[in-house]
Amino acid sequence: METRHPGDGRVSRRTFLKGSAATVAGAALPWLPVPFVAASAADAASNEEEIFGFCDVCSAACALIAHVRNGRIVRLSGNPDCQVARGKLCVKGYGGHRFTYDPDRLKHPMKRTNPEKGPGEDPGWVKIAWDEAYQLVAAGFGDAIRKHGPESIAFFMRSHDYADRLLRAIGSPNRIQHESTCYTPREVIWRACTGAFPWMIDLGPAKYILSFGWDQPAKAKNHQAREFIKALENGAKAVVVDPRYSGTASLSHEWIPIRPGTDLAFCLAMIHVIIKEGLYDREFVANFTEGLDDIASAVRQYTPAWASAITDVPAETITRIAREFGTARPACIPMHKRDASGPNYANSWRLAHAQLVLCALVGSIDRPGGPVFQRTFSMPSFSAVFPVTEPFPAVRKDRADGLEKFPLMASGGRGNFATIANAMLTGKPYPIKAGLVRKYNVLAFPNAPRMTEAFKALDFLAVVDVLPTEIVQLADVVLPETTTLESRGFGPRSYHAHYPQIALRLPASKVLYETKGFGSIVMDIAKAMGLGKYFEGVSSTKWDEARLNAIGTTWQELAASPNGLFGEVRPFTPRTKFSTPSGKVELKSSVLENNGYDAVPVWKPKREEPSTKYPFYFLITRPPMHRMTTSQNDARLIEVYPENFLDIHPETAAGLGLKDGDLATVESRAGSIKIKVRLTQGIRPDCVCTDHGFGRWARQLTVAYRRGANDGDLIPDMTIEESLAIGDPGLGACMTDFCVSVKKA
Amino acid sequence: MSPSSPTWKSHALGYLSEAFSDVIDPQRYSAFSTSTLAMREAPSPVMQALEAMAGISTGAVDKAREELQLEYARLFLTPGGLYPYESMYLGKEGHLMDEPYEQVRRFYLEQGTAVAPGQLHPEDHLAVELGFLAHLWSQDQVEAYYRFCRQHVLAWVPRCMEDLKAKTRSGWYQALADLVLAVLEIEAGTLLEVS
Repeated sequence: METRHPGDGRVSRRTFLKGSAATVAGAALPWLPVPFVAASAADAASNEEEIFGFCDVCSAACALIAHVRNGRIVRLSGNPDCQVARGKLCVKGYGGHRFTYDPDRLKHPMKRTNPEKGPGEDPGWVKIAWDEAYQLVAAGFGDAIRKHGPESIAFFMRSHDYADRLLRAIGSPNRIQHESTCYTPREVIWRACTGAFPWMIDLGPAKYILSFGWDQPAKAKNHQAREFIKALENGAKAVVVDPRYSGTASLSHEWIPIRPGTDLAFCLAMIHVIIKEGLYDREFVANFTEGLDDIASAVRQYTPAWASAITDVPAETITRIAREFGTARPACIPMHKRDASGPNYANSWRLAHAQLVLCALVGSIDRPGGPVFQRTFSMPSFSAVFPVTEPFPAVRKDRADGLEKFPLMASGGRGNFATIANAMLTGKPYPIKAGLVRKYNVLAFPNAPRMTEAFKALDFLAVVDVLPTEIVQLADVVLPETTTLESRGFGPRSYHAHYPQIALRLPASKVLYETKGFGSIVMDIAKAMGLGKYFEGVSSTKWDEARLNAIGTTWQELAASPNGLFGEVRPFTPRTKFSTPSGKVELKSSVLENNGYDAVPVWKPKREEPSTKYPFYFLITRPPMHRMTTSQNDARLIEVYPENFLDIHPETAAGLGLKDGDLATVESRAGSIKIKVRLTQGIRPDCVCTDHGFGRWARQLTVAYRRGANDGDLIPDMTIEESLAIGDPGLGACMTDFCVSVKKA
Repeated sequence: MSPSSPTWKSHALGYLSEAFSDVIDPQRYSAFSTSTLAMREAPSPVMQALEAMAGISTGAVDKAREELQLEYARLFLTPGGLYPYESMYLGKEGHLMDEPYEQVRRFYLEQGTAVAPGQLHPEDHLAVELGFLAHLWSQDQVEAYYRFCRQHVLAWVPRCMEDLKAKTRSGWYQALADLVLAVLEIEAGTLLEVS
């Protein structure tokens, strides 16, 4: 019957029946019915409880309270003392328990019996024991190592201390992360010019909020929506520069429908005006920045009239916005992931640099009302707590995705989503033959169909996940993971942290089915591969305790916290020293210069412009009810937002013979999709736009299956050489730097 | 409603709980379907269902094991198959651990009992509810047995079994579903008589 699970409190029913005098029903029978025992006092007493936790819908990790009644979570609420949540969650966060209770969840380890893979193929799953699953993973990886070397194994996942150590123990450099499709062009600029990356945008005190495609209030980012509204209530002016009339634009005072990918020209002209008219914060610039003269020289040519021709925005508007931005204090350019300075265009990193210069000119960097470096606790590293007793094997420096060729990104070890498909399919620079994926979806890669072929081409693929998503359908072995609400731990406040604060998470639900935590899965894989020596003494409880001790508390103390939080409110002290070679905000970056990149922002156009064949710009956004590719199987959220559409201007649609609701074929140089048209005045006539997260082909996602279309099918992937040719130090994936054709399907 | 007479009921419910809790073991299926002595007092519809099971369970055990592994995963582990949880049939939210889960768990507690630790299925899973019936009957808790039948099992398991018959490609599960339906029809008839 069920497998024994040492250490996790589960026993097989056969074992239980042998050992338990309390069992009644089965004792006299030759059968093994589910056994019942006398209820304990704890069973009877645990009627209503409030369990502290934090959300994992996004990395803001709002602290929450799970309201548990008779053993089930009946609702979630925001923790009022958490500086991120402030008593609220977003629409996705409130439904976190529905993810845990999704009937389609992966319940047991499984292996496929049908060697054919891909959309439309039934994997022919059979349930297996965890031990068999680990043996299959060890065999699959072992085979790849013997035939092609350890570098032929790639992990596709966010950084995870246990998994990172396993990969090092295997001897492969290839951990592939998603950030090149998310925010790295901006991150690399901020790290170069300020030495850090401000995840926090302190919008509340701002008097002027100028957004370039930033739309977090309409993407239901809890704390950013709250702070944005607070600023408006305090009299701030909000201006949105965006080719589409976003939700944030609808809340703002002014919408400027800019030509896609030209925000850089707009910002360069703003810098031009602010410097020329002396509107900048002289004290901040003099005390905390370097390079104003270089910037002034670089932008001399970028007049509003020049920018107007590029951006489609009148010169007077650019001048007016520059003056408003330059004279309102505090003024802020909010930024988060896939806005204009995310990895959307070949010039997004230059835009990020120009935006940084603008924030510095108005003195809002790490000041109330501006981009702020989050205040967090300093904790020991995994290696410091669990040093290895045996050296790791040598690892080759060149990676399958070419990451080492990007000097400012290489040290982080994160990969390039845009180049890995080509590497896997061509075997260049070397073959990738086996993979371990954790909670990444193949639909999220540029050119998803090509990436699907790349995963299919692997000799062995193991997938750790919660739901039977598209990547799970391609797996040879499936390893089911627990959800956040079934696990314990603690987490920092990162996206909105005025002061260091951590949130406690206790299990609000018992672990359902035969699922396991990822750390435990990794260690068991290591043992099965004969690499257990790299994890000697490692345990999650010791890991938690060591980090908590370092910040002056213990697990016991945290678990007993009356509000599930640790960290005293501290006054905000603005940063006066920056972690750059000069100790100042380097408007002209020595780091960029020393690595062969333009040290100041200069105008370069985006990669692709409309053509006869592909006449429309393509935009991508996210609806407030959905989170990437993870929420579309939630029946409640789907009821509210059931599919994605192609948003198109009525005049454009009329010219194409399209009516609202018609099915259209959208084609790029990478591929094509079929999607229903939705007419809206809120988009430039030369643009079309859709939401990410749809177009699901996994039949086993019974709610999400066949709703809408996947934007990723249109996004071109790249060779390493093509990625290098873009010249982005942050290896941005150019997620919308291509154009499309649209016609009636 | 004699508390102690038909031991066939404990026997049948005990096996059905086992059969729905994991992949069917063909040898144990065969052993149950031929346990006519233990089932001798069962009403004729139940005996007919048992005979049908016996007719299915002959043949190569290894091949059957493989077929049953695939069918179990297809029916119970891969979405689009069967969701044998009371929450999915009687709940309002369309997900597991809904209000019916709570009611079922409370029912167990009111009888002074709980599912033994370490079990993989939630309290409102088909195998658990059938196991609870087996437990109640063997404990002579007749009133609670029929109350649980009326309030819970009869409210959703017949529909679940019809769904099983419609979705399965396997004669093994067809026969198993027929046996469950036969047993529950008798219990429904008994409840009707009493009312």
